[in-house]
Amino acid sequence: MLCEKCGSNPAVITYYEQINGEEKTRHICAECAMKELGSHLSVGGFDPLSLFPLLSRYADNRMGTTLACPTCGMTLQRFMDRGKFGCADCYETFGDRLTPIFKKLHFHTEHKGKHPEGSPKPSEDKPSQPSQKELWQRELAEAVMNRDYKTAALLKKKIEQAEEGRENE
Amino acid sequence: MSEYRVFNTMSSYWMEGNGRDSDIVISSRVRLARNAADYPFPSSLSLQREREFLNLVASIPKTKAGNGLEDLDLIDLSLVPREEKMVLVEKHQISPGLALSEGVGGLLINTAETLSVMINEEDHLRIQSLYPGRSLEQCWEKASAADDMIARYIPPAFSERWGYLTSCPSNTGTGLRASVMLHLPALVMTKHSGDLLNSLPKYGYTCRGLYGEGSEGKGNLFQVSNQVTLGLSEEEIITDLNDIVSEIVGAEQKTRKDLLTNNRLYLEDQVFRAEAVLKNARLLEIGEAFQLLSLLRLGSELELVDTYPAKSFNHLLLLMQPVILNKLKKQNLSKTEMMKYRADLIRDELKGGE
Repeated sequence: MLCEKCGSNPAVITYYEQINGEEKTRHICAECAMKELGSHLSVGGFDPLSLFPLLSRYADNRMGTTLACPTCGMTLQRFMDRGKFGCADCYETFGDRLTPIFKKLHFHTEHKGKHPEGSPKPSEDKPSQPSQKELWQRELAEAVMNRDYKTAALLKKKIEQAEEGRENE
Repeated sequence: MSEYRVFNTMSSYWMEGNGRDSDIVISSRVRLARNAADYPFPSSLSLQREREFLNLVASIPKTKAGNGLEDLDLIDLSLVPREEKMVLVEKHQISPGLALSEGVGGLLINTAETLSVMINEEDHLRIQSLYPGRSLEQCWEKASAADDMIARYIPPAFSERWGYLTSCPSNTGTGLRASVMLHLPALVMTKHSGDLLNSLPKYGYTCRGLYGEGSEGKGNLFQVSNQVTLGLSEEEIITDLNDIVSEIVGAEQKTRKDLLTNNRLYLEDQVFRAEAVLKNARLLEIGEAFQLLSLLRLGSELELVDTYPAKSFNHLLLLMQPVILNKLKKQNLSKTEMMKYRADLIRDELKGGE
């Protein structure tokens, strides 16, 4: 594909711009990028979460998008909007809410593959049983994914009750 | 910055044109996305903290000779003028994002340009390995060895559940993107490339034209890569991609043979026309040059014309690009000058090949 600005060089850069709410994809060459766009260009604009407007809306209503990462301050809402984590701790913070996202992107939700040297291999680990609450949270994420809001509401109630129970202990 | 080889030498090992299936698979690449456990991701870092991280990378001692990691140069990209950084973009060594970033980026790169590490891109580290032909295993070994070496000094952000933690959820897990650059002129000529390439996303792979996002790349060059990074091991990802590459290579070879048998006259006409223009043109647009060089490469591989070394074609892929041409001629060329120098370069390179 040729550059949309000069029409003569190969487009090596793809970016997205929003004009009046309408998203447009642009392909330009390195030369034009340098000349005309400079630093305000946000490059590599692949936003996997734009695939999930529904999920994002649901997150708004039900999943507490004010949830924020204690390390970097990233909120679930902002993560849903820009599709990027702020730091490694965001993963733990958002926890099971990420399951449907990983399922959609990778068809899988758990790592298999290289471990850094010195960290225990999964086979050396004792398999840790997920708690009932964790199981419910995973089912909840799945239900949201499948747009099964009835089940989701039921599960959410169960989780809340479990949490209240713990607080009263 | 002129002291660094990568800005001044326009040949890299991947251009050698050797390796398995190198008539169709131009090069293979593996990229690993990694982050330091002790720093927020680059998008959340202040300039000062980015600088601190770059210094941390700079403090890694050069490893012992013989392990293939000893000849890495560290380039502080914040000291490099933008035009020079664009040379690295056209060489596919850094991303446009890193080149245009106002932050403190860096690049570790070895002499053969088979190993490089982008620093403070979307992730703290993007370890990349690039080899000619079909060589994904070799790329993985090289990148993984560099990963191990760096991890000894900079512990990676890693979780048992999600694997390597990356800025974008599309890279979480292995952080591995394996890709091959394929030259598929026969499949494009017979209009089969669309079917083949459109079917890939269903299986978790992407295919894009090498220059641009359109379904048909300039010069019949395509990049095929994995999309899934979580839930599969690195070996599985590479084996699966290799299977897909085998299938595409087989289809391209079969189509080339079919064209020779059933449409030889048409094929010869295309190839001889391409050769005539490339050897005589005084002005060449880049798109036309890509297209004609692709046809000549095909003709050369099928021995319809004199054989030109694959290296010449690979070299030209790089040299024809605008920022590199400016760099070679040490000036800002006008559009016409650019076309003239491009045509000159191609005539020179092809003269050498006969």
